[in-house]
Amino acid sequence: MPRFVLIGAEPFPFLRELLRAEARRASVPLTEVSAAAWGTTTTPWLELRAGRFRGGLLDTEGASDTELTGEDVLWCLTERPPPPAPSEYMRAEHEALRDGFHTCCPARSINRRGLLAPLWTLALWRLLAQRLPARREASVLFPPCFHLGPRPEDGRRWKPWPREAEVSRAQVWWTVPTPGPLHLALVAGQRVTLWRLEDDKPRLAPPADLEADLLQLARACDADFLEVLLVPREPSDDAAAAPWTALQLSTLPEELESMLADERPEAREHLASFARELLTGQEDAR
Amino acid sequence: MILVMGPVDELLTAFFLSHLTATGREYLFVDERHLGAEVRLELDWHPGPPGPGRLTGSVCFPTWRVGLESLSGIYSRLGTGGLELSQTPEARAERAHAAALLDLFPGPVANRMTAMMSNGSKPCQYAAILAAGLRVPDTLAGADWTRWEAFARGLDGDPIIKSVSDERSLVKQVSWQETRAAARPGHPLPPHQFQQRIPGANVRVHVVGASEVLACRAETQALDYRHPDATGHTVSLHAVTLPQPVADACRRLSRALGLDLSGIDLIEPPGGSSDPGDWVCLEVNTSPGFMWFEQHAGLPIAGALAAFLHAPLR
Repeated sequence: MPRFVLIGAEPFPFLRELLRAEARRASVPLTEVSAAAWGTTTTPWLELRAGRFRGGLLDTEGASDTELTGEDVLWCLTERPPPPAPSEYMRAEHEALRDGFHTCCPARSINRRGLLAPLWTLALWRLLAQRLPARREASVLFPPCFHLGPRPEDGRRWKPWPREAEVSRAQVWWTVPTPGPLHLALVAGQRVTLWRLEDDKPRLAPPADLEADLLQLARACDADFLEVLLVPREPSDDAAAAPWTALQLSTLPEELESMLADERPEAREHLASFARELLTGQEDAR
Repeated sequence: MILVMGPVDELLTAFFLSHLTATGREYLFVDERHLGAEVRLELDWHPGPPGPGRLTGSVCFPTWRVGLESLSGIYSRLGTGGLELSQTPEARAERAHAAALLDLFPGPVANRMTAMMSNGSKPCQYAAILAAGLRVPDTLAGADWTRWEAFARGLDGDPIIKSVSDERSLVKQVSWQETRAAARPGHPLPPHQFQQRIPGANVRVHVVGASEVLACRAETQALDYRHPDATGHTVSLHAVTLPQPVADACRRLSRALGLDLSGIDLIEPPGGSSDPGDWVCLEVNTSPGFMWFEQHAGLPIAGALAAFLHAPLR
């Protein structure tokens, strides 16, 4: 019987409720660990014997020990920084233990974290730049143009890449030819759904080439779940411009949560079918 | 031309620059302290299929600039030397631009920032080591006593304790009884990593460009050959040639971690073996201080690295 472990799901109450319901429906035991408990009262462990990894979670208050196997499913949605430590050495040790657990834990991990996973080591704009076009000449999805340095004065509309401006202070600017309406693509396992983020957010059928690009992008990022913001080429634009441009990439189901909050049945169906495949299947989530 | 970035007074940076000067290699040097003051980077990324034309830009000095197209490779020692770095927005921005350049540059880079991260957690590297066909010691990593006793009792002899992260720590051999006695009631166990002690000789392997393999054996009685004086021992280094399958496993490992320069710590089994499955890998250093090995074992690592970074763009 597989087990489903959900870590740090508090910012996504609608998604969490739906996952709880799917776990109940599949009779799969669900273990929830809050972001506050993860790394403090619930700590990871990892054991390697004769080249085989074992891993699990220890609840140091209740003294319970949950070993995770290859049948189990782990989705760590959010994490907090490691708990305050008396030294830089101890802080690094806490972080290294958590990264080691994410990388080597035998459970089927959704969007597996760790230091070998591009989603968690590369800045997202660089991930878009380096992983797109995903299918070379056959691709219809491209990254924007990026510039590092002072804002270019070339008449084009350059915008700062927000996270870099906030965190690293890198001056990363991006631009696209005249953007069409903003769209959202949800990639969950092998399914892609496309939504126009205007006019009541209608769900659209994704063009086959775009769907193939998004699935390949997810594979290239080792991702099981992705939200991608993208814009199509304006009909009036130069035909040489990219048919679609990806503007943002996220592992957090924020837009999905907002659609679940709006009681969008298509969004609910999309997540439910992803969860059902995970909880009843034996294949790796990826 | 090779771009070298790092603190000019950091030992390995200075050593590599001396080698480039002595051998007449063309290079461009950026002192890390000058990023954001005298030196800026301007980079443009153009959407399109992979190729050298996707990234254009320059390394900009106050009165001149060098285009990226004239660079053949990059050697980075950024973040080393224990500098107190400037925290002005300009300096922080330029350090971030330098990190981006290391990741995006289409030619050889020793090493890309993201590739260096695997060393931040030893268990992360174990997954790649096993996939490359080498062995890893039996290991327990955690922050609780619950599993420790059963693990320790299943080992041959007392285990080794070492850091989980890449923070430098003195590797020690400890007994279960001593460790348990040192525990303070009411205080949680800090994260730790216990391992089976592996008999055999320490071998350090430097892999350049995932092809050139330069190895030496460290002969010492010390548990950790990198700190022999801490236990009153000496160490001597001698160049060795690895069995071909073991050298190939090191190449695979270096390639899998995306490293153009790696320092791989192996334990050679007593009596030797050409089967990589008999060789134990303790860790992969992603920013190896190769000077010591070059000077004491005569390994031509700087020359191999310079030749690799000076090759025409792929």
